Amino acid sequence: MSRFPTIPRRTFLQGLGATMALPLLDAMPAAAATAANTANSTTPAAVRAAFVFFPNGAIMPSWKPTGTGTDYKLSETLKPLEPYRDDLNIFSGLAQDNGRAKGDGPGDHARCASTYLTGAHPVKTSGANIKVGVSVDQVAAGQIGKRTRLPSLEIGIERGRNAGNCDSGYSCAYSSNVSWKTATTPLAKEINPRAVFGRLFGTEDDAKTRKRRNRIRKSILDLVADDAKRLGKTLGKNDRAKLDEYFTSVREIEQRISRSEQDTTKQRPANFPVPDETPRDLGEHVNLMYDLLVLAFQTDTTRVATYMLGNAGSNRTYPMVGVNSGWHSLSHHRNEPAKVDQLQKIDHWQVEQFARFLGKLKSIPEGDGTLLDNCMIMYGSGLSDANRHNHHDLPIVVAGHGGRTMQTGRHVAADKERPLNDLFLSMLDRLDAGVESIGDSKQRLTEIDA
Amino acid sequence: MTTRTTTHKSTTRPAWHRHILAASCTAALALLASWIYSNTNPLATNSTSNLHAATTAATAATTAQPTNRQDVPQTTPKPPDPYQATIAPFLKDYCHDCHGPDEDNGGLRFDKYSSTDDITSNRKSWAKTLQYLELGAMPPPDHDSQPDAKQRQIVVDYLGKILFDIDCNLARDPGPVTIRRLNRAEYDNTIRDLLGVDFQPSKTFPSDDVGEGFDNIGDVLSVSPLLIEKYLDAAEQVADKAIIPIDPFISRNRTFRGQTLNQNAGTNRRNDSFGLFSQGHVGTIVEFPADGDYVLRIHASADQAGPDPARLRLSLNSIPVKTLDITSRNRNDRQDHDYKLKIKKGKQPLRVAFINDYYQPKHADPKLRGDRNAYIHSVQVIGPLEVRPEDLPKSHRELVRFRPDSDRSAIEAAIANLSPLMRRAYRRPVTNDEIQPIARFVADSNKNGEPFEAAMQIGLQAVLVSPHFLFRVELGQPDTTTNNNSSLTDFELATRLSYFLWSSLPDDTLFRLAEQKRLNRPDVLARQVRRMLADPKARALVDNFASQWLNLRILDELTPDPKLFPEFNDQLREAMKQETQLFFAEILNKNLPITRFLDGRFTYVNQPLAKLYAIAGVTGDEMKRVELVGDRRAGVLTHASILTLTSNPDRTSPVKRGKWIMDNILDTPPPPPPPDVPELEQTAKTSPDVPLRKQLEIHRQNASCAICHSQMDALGFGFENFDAIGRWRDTDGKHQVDSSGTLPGNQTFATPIELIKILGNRKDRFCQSLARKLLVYALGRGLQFNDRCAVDKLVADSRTQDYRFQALVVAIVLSDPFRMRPTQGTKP
Repeated sequence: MSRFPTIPRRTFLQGLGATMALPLLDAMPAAAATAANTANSTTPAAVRAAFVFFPNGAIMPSWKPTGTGTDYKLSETLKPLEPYRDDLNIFSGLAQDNGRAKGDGPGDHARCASTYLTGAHPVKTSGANIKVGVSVDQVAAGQIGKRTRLPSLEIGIERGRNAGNCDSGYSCAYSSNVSWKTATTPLAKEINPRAVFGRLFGTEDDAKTRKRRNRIRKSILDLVADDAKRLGKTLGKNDRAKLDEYFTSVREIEQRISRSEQDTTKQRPANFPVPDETPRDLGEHVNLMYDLLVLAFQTDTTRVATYMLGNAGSNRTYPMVGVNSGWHSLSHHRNEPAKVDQLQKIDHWQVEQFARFLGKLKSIPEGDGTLLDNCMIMYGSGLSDANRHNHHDLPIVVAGHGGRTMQTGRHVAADKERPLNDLFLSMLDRLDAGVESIGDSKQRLTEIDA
Repeated sequence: MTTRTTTHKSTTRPAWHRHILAASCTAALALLASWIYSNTNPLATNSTSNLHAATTAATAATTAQPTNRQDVPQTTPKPPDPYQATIAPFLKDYCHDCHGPDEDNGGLRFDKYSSTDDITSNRKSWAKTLQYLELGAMPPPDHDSQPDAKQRQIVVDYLGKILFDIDCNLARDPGPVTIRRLNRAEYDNTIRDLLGVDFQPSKTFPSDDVGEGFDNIGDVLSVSPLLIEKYLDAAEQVADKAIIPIDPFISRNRTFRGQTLNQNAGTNRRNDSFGLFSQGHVGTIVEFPADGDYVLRIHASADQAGPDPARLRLSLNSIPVKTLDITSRNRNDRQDHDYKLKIKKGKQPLRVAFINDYYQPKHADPKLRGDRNAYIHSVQVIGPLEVRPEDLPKSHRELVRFRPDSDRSAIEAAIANLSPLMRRAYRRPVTNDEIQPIARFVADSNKNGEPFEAAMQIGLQAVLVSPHFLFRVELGQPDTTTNNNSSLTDFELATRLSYFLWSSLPDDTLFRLAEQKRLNRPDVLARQVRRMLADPKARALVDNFASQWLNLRILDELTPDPKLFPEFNDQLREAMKQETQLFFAEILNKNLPITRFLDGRFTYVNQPLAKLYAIAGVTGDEMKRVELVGDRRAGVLTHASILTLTSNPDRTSPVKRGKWIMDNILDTPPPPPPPDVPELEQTAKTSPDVPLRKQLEIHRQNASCAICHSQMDALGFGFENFDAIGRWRDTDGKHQVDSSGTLPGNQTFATPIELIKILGNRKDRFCQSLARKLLVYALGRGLQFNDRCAVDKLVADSRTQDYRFQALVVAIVLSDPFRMRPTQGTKP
């Protein structure tokens, strides 16, 4: 027989070029993990955070658990989380007050996405001067991003909307992004799994080619940064701001290249089948991205990530659960039972995939526990009841133990209108990126402290 | 949910409601009538043009231009401010209840204003107020005291005048333009036309953000670190295609093993080797730098078993090219397996697959017992074995015209090569100071061991990532400055022109005219426009302008319910898009009047689309031109594309259709509902037996909603004969389709064609709508209130030329906003 690790033949997929993601076969070779993350190490492993966003809110009566504290009953929508009950907290009562109109009229979906991680009120414009606030993931990346090859990872499954007005006079930038590096610069998300894999681990070239490429690119970036600086001086304020964006991005990539050169332990994970093209099946796509997120955290390639399961106001259909109408159209259900039922099916399906993701995190040993122990994964939306466009009492779940610093296994019923950003303050502390305020935060959410 | 309080004093709401509803509807309809049907003197300031101006001003945010009031010489004494006498009392009587000292709904308080100047310093808020007043949406119809039509008109006229009155003879303001980054389509086309390399590198770029309905708006396009990475990747790929690095170091011999090979599920990797157990394969994407002979060398071994040797199949681009028997005796006996073949230049996936798995551990015959596996230790690509000059692509010969030799050093050769390249890439003459750094980069790379061709590749990459290439820089001609506005330089004008009509860089003719400073003349510009529109590259206007103006890109995202519409598939979707694009292209190419968009009695269909339209005699997948007969279809409003994208997945949406028409045909986009509109108390107690029309009428029972919805819904209902994927129907379920309606001014229609005729008569209005959209696309910015002058002129010019499409394009190119810009550094 073969000396290579044996795999039952039955599990091999028929056909060549299968694009289905397989369960990760081996743990990472030890060289690729940082010292702190190898099994049985005494150094505490780094905490990672991911912020998962789903659009169009949820059917709240089917989402909300009954009872609070440790003694609560999981709702129908959240049933798939049962096996991880002790690894997560469910929140209610949290709000993004800045998602409300405040005199700006309609546009709740654009506000839903743009306030989700910022807690800031977006400037209503469909063209000039888009502006909201820095998102929590970027606050973290600003502090701890240099410790990993990628400061942060932004992924999704829907391209930015590229036609028409996105939401009642709001630029599409607001609906297509949850991650904001500065108040005016959204961070584009990658939706192609192959490209995500490449960003995490580089392309399949050998070391010599990579080295040459890095050398060339650094020189090019140096040259063009100079160009941008000189050009900026001849321009007016608005134009100069655009050149500054360019300049900052160029410098960022230069730093990334330098960092990647210093990181000699980089290796492409073995046995991860990288698909040739983006899967057309929604379920496949969603789960492949979750798998890549697991990989990114497992290899400590990054410690901060955001994942959009759809753009704000997404109108995709979910035929796998028998829903052939668009999610957004349905969400204006006016309490019609048939529509509510369909929506709940979508909610439930999404939670199922999320649960699968948690299972993966939990199956990876790290230190004397699992990867999930060292994660904080927020799963939620900037809208609760999407029929009424409510921005309060948001559906929020935080899974993981944050490096064993969090009390879990509870339904935390926060005071009404408690800012969601209060939760961010607590999460940032655990990421070693603590700040005194972000967006409309007031004070830390100490209810989760261990 | 907060509600308006204290203003609803009556308890007998239903009867009272009806009276007010009747009264306000009449008033509203009268207003709407005057709004839509006034005969407009384009330069007069009246409420008609105010409405659209109001809309633009509302979106102009705080970057409003200085009003130029200060520039207006005072030749007549200023009239007394009518605010206190006329306006303040009006506001007190009808508005202060909710927007005054006691209550400030929406944060709006009218008691805080005391003069006309106060109003003009808060333009955005007052523009919204004007819009609601004009429509009759405010005061809300159920507010106790209501102005009569005359009172309302006085205030509307006053606000229109002070907010939007500009003397078009004095205020020649081209409006601000923020520097514009090339968007994805422009990037691809520019690479194609600059280098002759056509492979759409921008497919992997993140989407361009959309603003004002288009993806080429300077303020909205941004640069993120991700995009810089993509630019670097793209530049590398483009350079590899444009210049052949003939050199052993780079391309003669490449070995792939371990990490540099991909695998599938039937394969397992250990260190650098792969074990293929079942249907295993390894592969990678190989760049073949030139056409020629290559050798593929597979270093392999095998566990042999059974009657046949372990066998591998080599495939390029999923096409098998060779089957190899592995000659090894066992897995440790690693052997080279060579195969020589001709391969074409380009990137191709190479795959080595194990094709004859064999697993018989318990076979009766011991000689046939065993487990056959293949092992691949490396895959080598050797070649091209020889490259001839004729095999080099045109781009290479043009970019590497000079090589270092006895006459020329490396840096001199680099300068000579880079000069013409940079001039075209930056779309203007370049100075020595600009060429030097990149030339030095090339020469240094060459000195450090890169062959000259590879060094030139690197130089090309630098050019393609430079801000001068990625951004359209406009400095203007300072010596032409008046009032802080300058003309564009001829090169900048050429660039605007080519990106407007071709979404690409200027061609040689335009460059030459710019060099000779002959471009910025009306007759030359007009001639160039016509030449460019006749060029195949004008296809970009169809692909980029038309598809965004008509929202065709939304079609890609739509998923009509497959149970209700089984005939809708990707093929049909594609045909729908092409129909509209070809229709647009014909109007453009044949220079037809733009009203054909509405009433054109021809279209393009293929078999699936013809079937949907019940048009006989069209077969095959190719789109064919047909004349439309009968009285069902005419123009874009009856295209399946538009009808589908204005529907829901499971039914039509008259509201969406009505809104689309108001947005794109009538240029009267409905304002968003006033904030804090109370929720519909009636959940639609809809049994599915009630026709859609009746169901939507429930919306309109709320007077606040009815104001806009009576208009919008009427327009949408006019197309109810077309189902959610654009097919004609006379019945909808059990009900007879009723597509009749009445528009303000008592214009009635009974069928879609009749409605189209009514809309088609609004020639100026449609022209204005299209002109504005074209102007936004051409300028890369949203329109502001003082663009009204330019737009009015466009419509007037159009009218004199029969509204022909090309005339409109020429008029735009000749307009002030297109040929001028604010002087850099004088305004933000």
